[in-house]
Amino acid sequence: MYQDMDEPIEVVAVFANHKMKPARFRWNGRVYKISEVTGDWKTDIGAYKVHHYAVVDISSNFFQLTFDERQTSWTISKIWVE
Amino acid sequence: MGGIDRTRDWPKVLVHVDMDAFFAAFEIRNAPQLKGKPVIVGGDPRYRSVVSTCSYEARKFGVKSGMSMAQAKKLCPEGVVISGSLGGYVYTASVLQVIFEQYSPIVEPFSVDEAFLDITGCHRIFHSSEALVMKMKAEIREKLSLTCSVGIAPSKLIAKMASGEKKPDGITIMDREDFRKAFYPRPVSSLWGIGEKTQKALSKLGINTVGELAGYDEKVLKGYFGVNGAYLSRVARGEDCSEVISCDELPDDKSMSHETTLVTDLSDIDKIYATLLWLSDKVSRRLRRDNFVARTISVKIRSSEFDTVTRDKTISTPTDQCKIIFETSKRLIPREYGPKVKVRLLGVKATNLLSKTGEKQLSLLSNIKMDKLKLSSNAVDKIKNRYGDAIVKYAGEKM
Repeated sequence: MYQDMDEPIEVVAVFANHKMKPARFRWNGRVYKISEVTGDWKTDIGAYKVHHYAVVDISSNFFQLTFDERQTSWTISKIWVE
Repeated sequence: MGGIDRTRDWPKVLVHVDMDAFFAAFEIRNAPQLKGKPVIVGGDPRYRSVVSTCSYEARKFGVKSGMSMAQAKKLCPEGVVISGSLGGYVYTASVLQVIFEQYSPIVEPFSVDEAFLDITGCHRIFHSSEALVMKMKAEIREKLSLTCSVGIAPSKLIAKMASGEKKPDGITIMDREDFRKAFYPRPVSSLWGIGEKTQKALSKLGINTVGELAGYDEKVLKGYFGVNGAYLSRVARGEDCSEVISCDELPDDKSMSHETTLVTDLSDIDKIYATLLWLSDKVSRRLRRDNFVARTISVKIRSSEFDTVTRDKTISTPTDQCKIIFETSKRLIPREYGPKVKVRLLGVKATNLLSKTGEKQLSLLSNIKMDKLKLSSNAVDKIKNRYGDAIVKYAGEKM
């Protein structure tokens, strides 16, 4: 099941083909390497965009990452727990 | 693809695209560990909530859209319940619209996960209708990793019926003759727009299959069902002349409304009013955004016993102001609701809309108080447009 959260993370992202794609992130001192971005979408908060990324790391863990343009910040918004 | 294009001589070639278990497919795409599991998208089963959609695996257990989540969990205890990402669905629907518009200039969104396309003429560019649809499906799969089922037919009705024939990920070409062959032996409920009540009423007349309905005297049906009788007869024969209407040609909204099913039934009148204020704010913001004023305000209120009451009032000066919509709707709530009758659902609706281009005339009726109200609403709109709806709230509004 999903567990909602809102924790700040540090992200290394790749900018290519007019798109931003997270490549790895640091959460609680541990670095997670992203193997696949399975989905991405945007939502609006007023005039600002919030970018959402569904990602899977190399150990097949699922995360949902969020980039808030207004705050210029990344957070981890969902994880999958068995 | 190199074969004969069956649609070549059709006067109209219409397509209905139906995304396969859209919300559930979106969630499974995002979290691949859900693949093969029964996924149910909807509200939290701990609270009163319903199933929005579910994966094909969950459907095997009898789970259906609109069913209460508690019932769905009973039928499918192993089901993985996901609350869903409305923003993600809306965004994906907008990407789909852009893809559709590359294959036809006439695209009619039918819902967040369905659309009609008029591909008459366009199909020749791709050599055949089927080739066009296959290319479009491939593009959807490549860009969104989602599948859809498609019906190709000479009318919207048959296209809609055809898209359900080979689910998931299918393409069905169906002319009127194919429609008759496929649907005449089926129960009337398999037709688009025929629900349980109509099915029961038809059954009383001895009409159980589509073929029986198609062969029934239209005049007799009109006698029983009024104008709907003629519609039923036409639908059963697969006759439909309606056009695909693109977004630009769709008529302006005739009403704007918001409603909410409350997390728990409410008897506290202050909480009822707080919800009403929140709904009035949402309606008034849409009116101002789209430059409308409303003459008539309605409220919908449903009791915990599922009795639904709708009341409306036409006001002397059309408005787009939350305060006026709220005060009007507040007075429309029957007195017994709250203290004596618990409330399950509340809705506020603005109808009888007028474009604001006529507002100069209305301003003759305005006074300083109203001008102040409008100025403050405009200022709040600007702040909300920049920072989001949650940034400013009325005191006493539902949190």
